[in-house]
Amino acid sequence: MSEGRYGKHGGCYIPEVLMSEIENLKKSYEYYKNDEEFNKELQKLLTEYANRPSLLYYAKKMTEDLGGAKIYFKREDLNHTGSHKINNVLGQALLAKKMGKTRIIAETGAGQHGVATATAAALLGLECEIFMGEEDTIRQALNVYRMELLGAKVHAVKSGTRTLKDAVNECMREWTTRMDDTLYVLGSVMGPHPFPMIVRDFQSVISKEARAQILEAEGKLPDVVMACVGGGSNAMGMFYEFIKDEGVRLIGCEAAGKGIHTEETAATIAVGREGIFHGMKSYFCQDEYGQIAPVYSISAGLDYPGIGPEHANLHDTGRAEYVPVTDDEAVAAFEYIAKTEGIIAAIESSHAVAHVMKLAPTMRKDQIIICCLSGRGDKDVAAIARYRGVDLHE
Amino acid sequence: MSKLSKILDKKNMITGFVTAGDPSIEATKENILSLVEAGVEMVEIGVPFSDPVAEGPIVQSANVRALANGCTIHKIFDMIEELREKTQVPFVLMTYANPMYNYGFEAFCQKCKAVGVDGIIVPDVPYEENAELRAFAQQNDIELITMVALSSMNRLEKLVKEATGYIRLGASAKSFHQNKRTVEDMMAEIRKYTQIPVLFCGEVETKEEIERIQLYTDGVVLDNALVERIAEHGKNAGDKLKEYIGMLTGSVAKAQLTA
Repeated sequence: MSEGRYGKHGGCYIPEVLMSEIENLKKSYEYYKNDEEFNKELQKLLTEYANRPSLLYYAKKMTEDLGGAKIYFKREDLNHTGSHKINNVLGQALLAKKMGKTRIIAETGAGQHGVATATAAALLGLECEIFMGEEDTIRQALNVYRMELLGAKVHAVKSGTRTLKDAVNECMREWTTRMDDTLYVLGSVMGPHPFPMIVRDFQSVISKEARAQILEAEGKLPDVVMACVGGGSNAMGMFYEFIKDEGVRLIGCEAAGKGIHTEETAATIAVGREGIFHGMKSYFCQDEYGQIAPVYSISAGLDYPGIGPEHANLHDTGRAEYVPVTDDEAVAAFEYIAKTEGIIAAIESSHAVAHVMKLAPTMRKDQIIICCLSGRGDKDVAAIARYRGVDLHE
Repeated sequence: MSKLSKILDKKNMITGFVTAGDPSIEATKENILSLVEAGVEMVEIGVPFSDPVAEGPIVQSANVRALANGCTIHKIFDMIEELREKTQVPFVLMTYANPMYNYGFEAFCQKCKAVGVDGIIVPDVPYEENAELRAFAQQNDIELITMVALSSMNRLEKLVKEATGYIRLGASAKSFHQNKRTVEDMMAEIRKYTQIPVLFCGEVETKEEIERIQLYTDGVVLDNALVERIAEHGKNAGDKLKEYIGMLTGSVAKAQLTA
């Protein structure tokens, strides 16, 4: 078995043209991850620029209203740029710089990873190009302009379904044409080894903090840790330090779109099959011939036909559970947490909030749920208004 | 030397790539016969995939058309079986990993053998990941073709040492010409380990381009040049393909004289 495996999943399934650069990345990361100077610089960026550590917030009103387990939110939405994506991007952009690269490229779905990448590029003086499905540039027009303000060039990808998976395809193609000065800053715990490992390592700061924070606040570990899952980077970051704590239930919330019994879904664990795509062996939404399915979710960030290989393995081993959450449920949760807690959460994160709303009332009052609020929802306000049939004029 | 290497043990080879099912399986069958009639030494048949990450826009569009027109792997295997009644020119199937994984690596190789496929190319299964597939291919007398790129210099020994069939050097024609020194060094390095043919594949079209590449390699795989003609002329592309190949094979004779 090759390197970078999580059970049978993972590996490095990419065209030969990229292999030497991937080897270069692997060696560079192995070196810098133990380099004192690198870690000091990254720590400084995380605390002085990205606003870490993020809060672990006790949602008292929601807890009382739902009448069950105590609910805590890990507030990644309060990070600079408004989501967890900055944790990984600062790490990879700094790594790019150490490797002598002058340009970074990235795919983006909702635009959160694109904005974070453009931000890091501006800060560290790197050239930046972002690939975004044309469909998503329409759904998230504000984020496109935001990236441009930050100095990035945004390419609207017109191939395939014109969403996240096509943005990944195009970004990989772009990388093959220009590797010498460019690093592909992948946004999730997916793709060829070493990306799932690198992104998980940089995101694991979420659970490292949350574990210490809950022990401080409650003197015990949580019963449930929850997060939304598309590719799975905030979930992997939220789960990672709790994996060894066997009493802690790990729950990933997938985007079911209009329901897992419809064609319009993106719930990979619920409807996908094992396959090899985008550099990894994992589960993918696909048809009977192994063609990748055109998935759907109201959330551009979860609208992806695969899931990271480490999640696939956590599913296989039963260490984590994955549940589907529909558009309707996510939108209801988006509105509920806004009215109850005064937090406008990203529609992605609202998928996890929706499951908290289902699960908390079934648990005892001395039990604890930590849910990752992976991003803030300002970007989604217009889309939610459209969903509710409200006509907005700015 | 393997069967495919022996058949392809020539210089200045002209071979071709077509996407199966573009615009229909019947048209692909006729187009392949036209290519064979025009004298190509081997045909690579692309299995259309929803997300062909290693292809440029021209072949991507062919993949989209083929899938929209209902091409499946079963239809492609049937087509090859029918073609084998008419020609013994080598056929190499190019497929992305997922459709093949979905079929089953072993079952896929067995089926290839049964219908008369000589080799397979899987662009997204690199050397480090191909042990299982290589074993199934060997058990079924199918060659797993080795792909190399201009960035493969430091990996060449392990890539080509056990390569069979031919080595497929992928690059754009432009980068090929900008990096002739690298190409020369690579060819020298490859020849330390193997004598099997090296075919260049990378959007070449004109006689002049092909002649220049022939000086360094054993031949070319025509990809965009054929796919574009098929896109333009559809099921009537046969004559255009014959005309084009005829023009090139004339050029090959000339290159042989001047080489």
